[in-house]
Amino acid sequence: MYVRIIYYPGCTVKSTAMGYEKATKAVLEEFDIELIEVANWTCCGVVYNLAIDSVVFTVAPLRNLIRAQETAKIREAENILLTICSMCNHTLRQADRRYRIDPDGADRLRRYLDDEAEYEGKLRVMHLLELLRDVVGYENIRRKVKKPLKNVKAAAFYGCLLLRPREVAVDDPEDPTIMEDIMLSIGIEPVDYPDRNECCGSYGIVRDPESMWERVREIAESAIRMGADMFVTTCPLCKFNLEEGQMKKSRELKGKILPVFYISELLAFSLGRMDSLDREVLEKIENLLRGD
Amino acid sequence: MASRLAEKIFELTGQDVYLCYLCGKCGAGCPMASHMDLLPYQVIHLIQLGDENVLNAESIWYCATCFTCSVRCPRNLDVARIMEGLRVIRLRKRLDTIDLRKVKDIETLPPIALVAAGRKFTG
Repeated sequence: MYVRIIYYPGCTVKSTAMGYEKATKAVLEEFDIELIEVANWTCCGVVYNLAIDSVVFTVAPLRNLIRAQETAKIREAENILLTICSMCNHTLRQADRRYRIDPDGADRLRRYLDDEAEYEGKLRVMHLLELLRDVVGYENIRRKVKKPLKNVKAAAFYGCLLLRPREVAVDDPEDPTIMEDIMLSIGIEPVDYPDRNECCGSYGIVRDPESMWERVREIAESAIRMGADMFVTTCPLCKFNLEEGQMKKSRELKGKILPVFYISELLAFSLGRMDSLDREVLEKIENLLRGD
Repeated sequence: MASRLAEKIFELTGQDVYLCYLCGKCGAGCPMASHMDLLPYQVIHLIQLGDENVLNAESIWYCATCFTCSVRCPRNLDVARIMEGLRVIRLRKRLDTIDLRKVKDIETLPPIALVAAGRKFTG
């Protein structure tokens, strides 16, 4: 089955997380899913303002939703807008939801965005994890595995915005399984640990990095205690914080530092798409499989 | 009678702080609680009392808007939104909590962190 969908990359995916995109594209190619990038996309805003009278913070994500909708029409794609970054997914979904449930807000937003087409609200913003669950299917992933990742244990790190608030969550906020289910389909053994759906400290790193490193130390300790060999995430900010925090707290962690992978990198490896992985990532995975 | 601050918070967030019965669940589950000078329910209590000193609490900036409190509140209060209301009161007066020009090692931080911080910490 061939599917063509719209894809919103976001800033970090095009700068410090380019490997994430490359691996994702390779994985989806294996399932005949073609990604059409939103024409003239801009920053999604990264965070959403929760004040009910706030308009400015909704403009950026809504503009991207409109451009995605128009791209879908021109390129004759499905009305699915794929995001791979947890924070982009969050702002785009919040904006989409606000437009649908808050008519006064929508009216003001329309006036701000009068240089764009009207938003029709027909897009389904889908995170990569949901695409893998709902469109690809775990069974299809399992069937395509060439190199199962056996004898490795991984700690799925959901972080905050994939799961909360409930109205825009990709899975149950308190007991998610979506990442573990995908991991299981490529042979990885997931570990259960208390911090898997907690916040990494997020953008707090800019204001008080020490507090964030402390947060990461707690998360890493809990994952290590449960026997994890690595972290798996879909958020470029979680990845950055987990890596940075573990490095800064390496003494407290007794030198045991868990590598952090994007879920697509592990999928790409297991599906035999090593060509899409940076050498450094490939080596890290191979080292883990050898038990180093 | 509702305090002036509680009314302002209602206007900004649609949340009625008087629904809170101070059970403490938000504070118990908050991942940033160990860095907070006031736990979320203490913040809410001060809003109930109309104590505007709450606007000077460090806690409102340590809150990373992760919504853990919001999904757990037995009174269905959107606690993260209330914290945002307090930040917004300050930020709309241009009372920023960081100066991006003074952030250490700024070039090592990914854009996702900088844009988020710019939008949550400056007005």
